[in-house]
Amino acid sequence: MAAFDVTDEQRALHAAAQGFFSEVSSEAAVRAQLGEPAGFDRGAWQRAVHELGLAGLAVPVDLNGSGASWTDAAIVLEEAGRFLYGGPLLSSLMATAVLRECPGPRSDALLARLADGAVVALSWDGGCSVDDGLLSGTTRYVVDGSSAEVLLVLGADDMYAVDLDTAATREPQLAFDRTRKLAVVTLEQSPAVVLDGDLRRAHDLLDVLQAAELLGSAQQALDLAVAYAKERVQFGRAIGSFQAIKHLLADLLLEVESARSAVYYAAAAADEGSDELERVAPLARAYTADVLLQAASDGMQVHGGISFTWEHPAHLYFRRAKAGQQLFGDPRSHRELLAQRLGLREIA
Amino acid sequence: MSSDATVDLEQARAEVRAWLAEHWDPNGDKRAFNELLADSGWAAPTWPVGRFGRGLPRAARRVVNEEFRAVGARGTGQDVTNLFAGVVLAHGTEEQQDLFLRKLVSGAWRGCLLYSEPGAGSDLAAVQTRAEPDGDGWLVNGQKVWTSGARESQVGLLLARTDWDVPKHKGVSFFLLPMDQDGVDVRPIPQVTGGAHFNEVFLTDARAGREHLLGELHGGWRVLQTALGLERQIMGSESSGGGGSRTPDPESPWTRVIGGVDYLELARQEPRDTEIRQRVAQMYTLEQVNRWNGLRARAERGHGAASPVASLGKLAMSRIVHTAVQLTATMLGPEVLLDGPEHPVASEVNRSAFAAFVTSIGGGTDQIQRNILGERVLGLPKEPEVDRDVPFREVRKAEATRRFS
Repeated sequence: MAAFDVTDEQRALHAAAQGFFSEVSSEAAVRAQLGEPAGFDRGAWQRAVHELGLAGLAVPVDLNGSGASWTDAAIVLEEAGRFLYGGPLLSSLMATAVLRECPGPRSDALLARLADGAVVALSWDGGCSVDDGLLSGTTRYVVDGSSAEVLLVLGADDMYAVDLDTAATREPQLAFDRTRKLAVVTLEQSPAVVLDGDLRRAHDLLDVLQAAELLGSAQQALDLAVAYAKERVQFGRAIGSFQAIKHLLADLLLEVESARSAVYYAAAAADEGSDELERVAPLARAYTADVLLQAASDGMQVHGGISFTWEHPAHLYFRRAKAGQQLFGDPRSHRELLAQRLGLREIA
Repeated sequence: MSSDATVDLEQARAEVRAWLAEHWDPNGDKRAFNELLADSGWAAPTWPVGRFGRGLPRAARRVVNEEFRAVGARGTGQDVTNLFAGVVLAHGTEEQQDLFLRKLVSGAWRGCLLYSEPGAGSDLAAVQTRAEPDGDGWLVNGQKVWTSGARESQVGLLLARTDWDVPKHKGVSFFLLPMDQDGVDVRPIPQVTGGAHFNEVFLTDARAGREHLLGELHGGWRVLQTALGLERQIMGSESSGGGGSRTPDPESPWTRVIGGVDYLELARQEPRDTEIRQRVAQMYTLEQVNRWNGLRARAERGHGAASPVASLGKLAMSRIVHTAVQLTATMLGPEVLLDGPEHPVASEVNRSAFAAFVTSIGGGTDQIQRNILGERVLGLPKEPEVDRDVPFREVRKAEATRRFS
């Protein structure tokens, strides 16, 4: 498999994404949204949609998208994660993955709307049930649920699309990760469209996309800790010269670089339609979530007391890390899936 | 990758295939084949033409490896694995390259490492073995330890002190010491695994000639860095651990596979509880990410970029082998209480539990590796060194000798 062969176009994409998110998702910009329970910077999202084509990044070209690969999507999400971008990018790319795996005119119509910037959110907690083509129930922890026009309801064996403008109520939820907006969505006999396709591959793609975003946050948490260890002086020397700190950071380096290899190998498996994806995707998802938690947690430890202040960014990464442990499923369930796919049997 | 490069690789493939078709005979004389192999350049395809290589790009290694493996021939890949020849190529004069390279590449000569001493382990710059000028060369006195293959070797890569009145790094020199001489006394060290793979080497008025000094006089530290870099690369590479080679090595924790037995095969033998299933998934993850790190390092080097992942392999492999032996022992259960030929699986797992320390201690401990990663990759400052800028003669030292056998 041709993993890790980075093209010049991908290098340019990486630089463009880095430039964009460093501007629209600077620490000041992220903080400006912390107190907003539902929203995000609409202006920045419009630029992402229209100037960079990020909403439709992986939407096929004939549906007004950019037709990019999953590796390209991972590159952009890594940078979004690095800058804790809070707009509906992850939701858009995840929805793209689901809709592309469920081909048909209904999906095409939704993909075209997505590429134009319509927010499509995902319901993943199993709170909805279907009866005679109508969806009812309360689904929680819906990322971008307050601002979404369409909700994709993910089940293990079926998927539905619901237009949220009809027969739905949404209530923002105060999220521990203030950089990401969650909502409760209640459906009462909402008309739903069935999406048919390779749902297993769709779930695997969601794992790869989320892993890429987690990786970016982990890299930044490490970079912040390393920079601080070089600059903070105690006992007459930079604290990064102490082996207790140095070894912590060296171990983190190994984890973050390994997570990067996992993400881009998984993205290549997704692009090439490789059978390996079924093992690599849950592996990458579980691993990057744990690596981010370690990076954010050890990052706070390295920063010492300053990390306990609201004004320092370390807690923002820690919040992301804690969210990464539960949002769209936990690392343990993904490892369990990997164990099954490796052919391990359960005790009856 | 450009299409031109692809064409070149396919041409290399055609050439190595033709060469193997002409010269490789599975039942033939291996020594004669190795001689031909050394002269052909296929043993170290990325080395220069005229220096036992073919001047091919790094990407060609994979192609050449595939062709060798396809016919069951061995001996290529020495541009990665032959650290003895590698260090001579990097630092030797033209005369030294002529003298040593062919013998090392053809396998006529073997090498061993004379670095560590009873008083100089992690702190190799503190070696107390002395090389003193004598006529046209040097007389060497001291003790070395942990030397694998000393008895079978013709050349020892020796680090010895040549100046005691300068700070430790500045007073050592690197020699290609001839091992077949009266002043070299090799004694096997009985090990925890029951074997005696390592030796201690006593040097008593051993002679090194002018042609045996590698690099500058007192400039041995720089040469050693090259040699250690090559060694760590070998220890962390996939071929020494993960999926690649299955060559039995009595001191390796992966004689059968990582952890003494194939942990995946063992896990599949019967239904497993949640804890074991989680641990197997974690073990598989560690193994796979290290394999992908290796692939990524190769891809990034191919683009001419310095790759941070290249230096991570040894530390990663150390965790892999220690984790794997614990996992396989847990799955085996009380059978691991036993040892001996009637319990081959338990013996293997138990032996591997010790052998895992070869990776976490040998070739630089995990702690030294973390220092290297922290300082060279992350750019963190070094610890203050109390022996810095102090003439070695005045530095506090560990015991210089100790008998293990």
